[in-house]
Amino acid sequence: MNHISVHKLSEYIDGILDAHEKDAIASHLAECPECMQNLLQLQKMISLLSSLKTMSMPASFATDTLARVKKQYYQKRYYRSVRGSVIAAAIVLIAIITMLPDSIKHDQFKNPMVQNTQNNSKLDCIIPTNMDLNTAMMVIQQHHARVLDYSNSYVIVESDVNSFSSIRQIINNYENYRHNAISNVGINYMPQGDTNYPQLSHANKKKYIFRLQLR
Amino acid sequence: MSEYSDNELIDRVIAGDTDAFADIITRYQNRIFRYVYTRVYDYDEACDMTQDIFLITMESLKTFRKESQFSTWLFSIAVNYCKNHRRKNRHKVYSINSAQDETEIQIPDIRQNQEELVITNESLHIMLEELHKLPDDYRDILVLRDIEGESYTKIAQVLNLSLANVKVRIHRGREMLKSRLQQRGLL
Repeated sequence: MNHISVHKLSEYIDGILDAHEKDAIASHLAECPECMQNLLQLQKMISLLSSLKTMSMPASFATDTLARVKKQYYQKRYYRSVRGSVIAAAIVLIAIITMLPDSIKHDQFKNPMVQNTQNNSKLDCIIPTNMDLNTAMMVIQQHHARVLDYSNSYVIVESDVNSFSSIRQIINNYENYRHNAISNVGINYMPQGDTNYPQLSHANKKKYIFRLQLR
Repeated sequence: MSEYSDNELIDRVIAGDTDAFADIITRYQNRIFRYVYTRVYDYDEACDMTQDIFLITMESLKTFRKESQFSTWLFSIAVNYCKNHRRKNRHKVYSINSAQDETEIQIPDIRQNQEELVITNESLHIMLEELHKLPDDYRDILVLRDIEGESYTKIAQVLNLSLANVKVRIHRGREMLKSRLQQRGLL
């Protein structure tokens, strides 16, 4: 007599066999103590397994978990709102910078140290003057020249040939008015040791970059 | 325990009533814990993992489409979380023979009867040990079927298996466990 497999007994316990198979197994079990023993062992095992359902968690678990859930929930909401504000502020800032006049964007927002280093190598000349910063700025503005960089002691200017000549003339007049003996000496001033300094020539340049050395 | 259905509670949570989530936790915490515990066999770790599973559930609640039962969806999250956890902690060895683990096997159960606070029954200890040693595929299915009493159909949905596959695994799993328990003298 063939014994019933554990697999089949398991299906028998779960009641998923058709009526014919179920009857056949029931008849066999009535006559076979070994298979009956197997069935009882299987039932005991399932019963032991189901008794593990008594395992449970501390009563405080739900409260603790909810506290963590809430903390995470509100943190996310906070970060989401902060992120929104930061993005909005960044958009406004970019819009403001975009709408700023070119002169401000290029002349005042650049790092003076970097600008200074960059422009020194491009200078066509240095013009010493007794003007203060405000006066120099006024003169530059009147002649539609462009300020590249400035500090209390100098202004680096970019202008066309005509403006350059006019500004130089005004500086000369200003100096004469102050009875200071200064003239074109300053023009083409070259720092010592810099032999590659470009020569000033009206004929071959459209733009001049020069430095007004303030008093 | 709340009288609201799962879906009603979910709607309340989504609408901003986070306290309603406490009812969901209370309703399912033990079921999820038991599933996780049989996998990791470490009480503290199982508690932490169960908490993480509820945090993930809360985060993903808006994506629950109510096409299946909430419990099926929740168990699917737990199954995936445990699989990922196993992958991340592949090199971690759970020794069940050390003295330290003997104490961890004792599972506090906060109930009225103090004698029931800890599972002290030797047969249950052996059962837990052998269940934990089973391959994941068989253990998961036995936990869902024989501990939680879930139907074949629901198990198939949770584990994303065909019904035929579920049947085969249940009976093979039982056969395997029975054989191991016999060797331990429990059956």
